[in-house]
Amino acid sequence: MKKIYLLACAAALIFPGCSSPEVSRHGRVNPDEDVIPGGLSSEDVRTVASKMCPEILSLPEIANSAGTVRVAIAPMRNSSRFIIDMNIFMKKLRLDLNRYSNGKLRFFAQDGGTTGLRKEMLKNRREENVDKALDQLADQVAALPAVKNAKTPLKFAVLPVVNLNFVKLNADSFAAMLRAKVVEKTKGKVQFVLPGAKADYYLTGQFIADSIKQEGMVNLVDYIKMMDERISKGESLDLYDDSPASIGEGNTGNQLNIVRGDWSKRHPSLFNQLQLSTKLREEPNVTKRLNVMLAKADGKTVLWEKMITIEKKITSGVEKAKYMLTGEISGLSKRADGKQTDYLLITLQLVDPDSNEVLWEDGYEVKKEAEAGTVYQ
Amino acid sequence: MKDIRTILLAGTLAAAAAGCGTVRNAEHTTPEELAGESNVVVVRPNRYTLLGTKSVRDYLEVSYEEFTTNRVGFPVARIGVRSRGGEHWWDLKGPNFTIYAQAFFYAAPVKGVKIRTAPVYSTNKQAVVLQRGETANLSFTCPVKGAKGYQVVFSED
Repeated sequence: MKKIYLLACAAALIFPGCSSPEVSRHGRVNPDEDVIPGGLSSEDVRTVASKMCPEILSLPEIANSAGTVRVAIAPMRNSSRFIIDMNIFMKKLRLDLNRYSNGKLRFFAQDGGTTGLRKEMLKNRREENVDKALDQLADQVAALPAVKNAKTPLKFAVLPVVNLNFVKLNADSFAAMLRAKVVEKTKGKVQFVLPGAKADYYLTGQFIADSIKQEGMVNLVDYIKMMDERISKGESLDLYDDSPASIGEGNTGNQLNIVRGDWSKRHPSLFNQLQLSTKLREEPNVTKRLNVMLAKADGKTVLWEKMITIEKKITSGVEKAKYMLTGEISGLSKRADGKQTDYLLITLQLVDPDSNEVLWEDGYEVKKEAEAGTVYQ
Repeated sequence: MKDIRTILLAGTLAAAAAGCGTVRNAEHTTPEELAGESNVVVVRPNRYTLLGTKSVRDYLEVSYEEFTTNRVGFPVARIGVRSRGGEHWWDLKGPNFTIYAQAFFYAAPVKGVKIRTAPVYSTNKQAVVLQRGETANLSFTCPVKGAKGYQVVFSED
């Protein structure tokens, strides 16, 4: 009995060492492990990134570059039979490149997920920038010799800012802001009078859009001349006034035909076009500038002119990219007797967009065998 | 005799109580063991039998090892791994098999060094398909300059 007791104690001490640990994977597998045969797998995505990342960073054009190299990513093409998320290869590669390039490489947010917030941020910044720019304009007006050395207060009249291109920019608000700043900066040397009253100078401007078809339909100097005529005749200053009373026979033939038209051959005014056209009502994504002009009321000579940027065109930034990274998945599949094989060739290229030369190209090839068709979701 | 029984009982209880602790110190690899490792190692197989292991290590041989730098100074480890074919009297043919290779790059050499630091870079586990007699020429580039040592770990899965 004693021997059995001793044996039991000894066994209790020894046998736990022979047992295997009770471990569980909890439904997780290593990303490098391919538990379902056939097709492309996470291991292939990781291997492509692991092999290509050092190769790209080893290019002399990148490694020996003095500054940051910006790279745009073009979507990969899929010529294989598999329907997969094509971005996954580029995303993993971009992760590795960002991780190991130490800031040498820089990519662009091209997936569109941040577009809305980015536009909102840029618009908020625009308001600050416009305010600063108007401050600078007012400083410049105050520093003009004619203003600075004026013995008596000068009389400025504000002509409405020409705004033919943009439907969502309040032209008058910019003019009002500039007027208030000019009054503040000139410290009483400038007095603003209502349109129609005799003024020494006209302060006006024009919104200018880069790369938009409707730009430049009204010349700013002609506009001042026309406005001056209308003021002297006691007519309305509304450029888009299309009432029969404001359109006479003598008004046809000048540049404002577009706006006002010949009464006998009327066309919709541009203002009407803007109101009716959904395309034109969209805020154009172009750089918008405000050209401000101070003209003498008597001789119509321009005393001072300055252009400021109201809003810069929102671009994706890819135009700054030095190279573009792209690739393709090509596949060759065979099927017989319930078995199938897939040969897959994943190629990546770094292309110089200026010359369209392929700076670098490498590939990863794999052949896989499976019992049945592989379905991706 | 009663004393011996008491001691054994106490020992058994102590051994059982040890398993009740919340945490225990993890074992560290000894410096001697680390220093004994070479640049190419094979993970122990996950199956043992009474007649020995079934490790693919039996079928692997390293035909060359190179540790150089590429044109921009990134460390590169090149290894030739050959499948030797049949190695046992019960299997003269030998298998075609897939193994996985993962390379680790360190700031200091691995071979003969007792202290190991965290790797500066590691690749993923990459599948290597080996047929009998075939040599797989593996190349691993480390995108971090200054690595002085490397270790390639082969495993069955």
